[in-house]
Amino acid sequence: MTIEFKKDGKTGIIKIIGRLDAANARELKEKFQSYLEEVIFFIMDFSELEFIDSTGLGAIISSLKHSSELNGDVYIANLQPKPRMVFNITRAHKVFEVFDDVEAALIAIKEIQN
Amino acid sequence: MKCLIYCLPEQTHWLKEYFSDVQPYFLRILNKPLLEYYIDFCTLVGISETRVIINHSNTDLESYFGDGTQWGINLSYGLVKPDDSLNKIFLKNSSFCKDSDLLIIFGYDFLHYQKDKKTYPFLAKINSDRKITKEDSAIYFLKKETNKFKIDLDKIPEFNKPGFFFTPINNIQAYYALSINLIRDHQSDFVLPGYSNENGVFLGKNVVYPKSVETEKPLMLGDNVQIKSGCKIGPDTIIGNNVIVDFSTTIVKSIIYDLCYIGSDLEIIDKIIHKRKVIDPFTGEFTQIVDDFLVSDIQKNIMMKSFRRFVHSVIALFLMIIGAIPYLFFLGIRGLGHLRRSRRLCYLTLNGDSKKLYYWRVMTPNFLSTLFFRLSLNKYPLYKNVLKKDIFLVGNRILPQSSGALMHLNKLPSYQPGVFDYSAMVSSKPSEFEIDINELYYCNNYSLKLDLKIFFRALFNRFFSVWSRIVEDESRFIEE
Repeated sequence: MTIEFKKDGKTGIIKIIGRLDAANARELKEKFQSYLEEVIFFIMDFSELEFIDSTGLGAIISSLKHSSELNGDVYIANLQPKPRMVFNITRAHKVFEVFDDVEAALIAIKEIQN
Repeated sequence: MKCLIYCLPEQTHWLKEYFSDVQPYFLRILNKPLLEYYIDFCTLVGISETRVIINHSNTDLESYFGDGTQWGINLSYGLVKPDDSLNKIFLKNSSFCKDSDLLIIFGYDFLHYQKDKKTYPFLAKINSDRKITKEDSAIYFLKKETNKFKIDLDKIPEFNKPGFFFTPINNIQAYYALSINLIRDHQSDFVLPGYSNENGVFLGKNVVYPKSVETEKPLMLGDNVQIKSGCKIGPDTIIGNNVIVDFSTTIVKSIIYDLCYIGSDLEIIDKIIHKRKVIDPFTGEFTQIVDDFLVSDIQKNIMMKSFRRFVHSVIALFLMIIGAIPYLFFLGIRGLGHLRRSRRLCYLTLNGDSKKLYYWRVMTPNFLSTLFFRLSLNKYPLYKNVLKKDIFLVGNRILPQSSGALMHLNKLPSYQPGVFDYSAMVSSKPSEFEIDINELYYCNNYSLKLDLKIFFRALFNRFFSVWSRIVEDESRFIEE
């Protein structure tokens, strides 16, 4: 798994490439903690996320929890069909805001920030 | 042109009471899922791409419709929160919505199109955005030019030309009235499942009934329907797939849902039957039948389920035999290990049936009690419950009876309590949030292979886990 991070104004965009599972969920949790020092609103770009399991999902939920504690939020963008099935069956879509693309998610986040 | 299909969760709440395991777009009307009518309509009017917005679990739906290739359409699915407004849904799906004219079908409705009619006044060439509304439902037509990230759908002007109708399916009465109305007067308007050798009769594949069965049209029989001799079926009757109707039963003006067994010598008039539920479609009242010989559900994959249960029982028996001497040893010296055995009422089924199960707790941890827990000997009394088929060896986390646990139970799509659960397989300590996700993941993915993986990894984790982790696992069960 590769994690790419960039900032767009007050929003952090985290792009996860490859698989997010038990083997690397901890890495995401740790990196997210360091990103939290810079911004509190995030968009997780899943356009190149190939696979996610319950542990990976747990890591994203943990990110949301930490961000929410600081009055921030985590939005999901570009959710691909296979990871979407995991979101669907675990009802994680009831917890996250899921957008078609990063652009739409940015518009929604900017509305809250303003 | 593209099409976005969405309904609010409030519009489908009534389904839970009557068809608890049926996903809203999968509700069968004349043996055809509601979404299939929408898709048929879309292909009829030349819509090439359709997106269904989901705010509930939809695994069956996706496996049935896939990417829509079978219907000649590009079908995709979007996930939203249950409380999202239509405007927000539009924003969330903006990359799908933009760059094309868009039809939004909003509401839980039946569309009264006709399979031979391809033009509708609402879809005729227009110059501006417009909508038609009925009760809590609406159909929007948005021009490509105005179709940007944000649009206020409430401000779209109303279009009142008749010629395109939709019927809200907002209660069991509406569902029944719609089904009967369609089979009586509108069956030729739609492509319906089954073959028709005469007007008003639709027969699915593998339908078996002897000559002594009296039928009166209109009627529809699904796939794999068996009707025994002396029965009278119809008029105005819809029987779903995989249904058995036993000897000398009469079914008139009724809907029999999929996977039902209807006993012999019964008279079913003006009723809806779903699994064990007998519903009066006029008052909305229903009865849950407990006698298998009257009305019952037919279970799918029963061989595989039985085999899974058998494997669980064999392993439990094996564990009972090899664990007997160590368990008796610890039972004898339990005072030294500060171990205490108690019983607690726990849920066994999704319906809330419960039974007292044994559990062990440790008062002051020491070497003996640690070893007892590490060897999973505290689970020993539960193996007997596996053999009795009360619980599984591997399954959902066992929920002790409490109002909080009942709320948790209601959130689960299925519940099969087990001695070991999915969270016990995870090596790092899961949070409550993660446990909930693990539970849902297990409910939707359980299989014998996964069960064995969980079982071995749980045993391994427990043996090598730090002591506090084991105690936390066990106290979760006790404290709840």
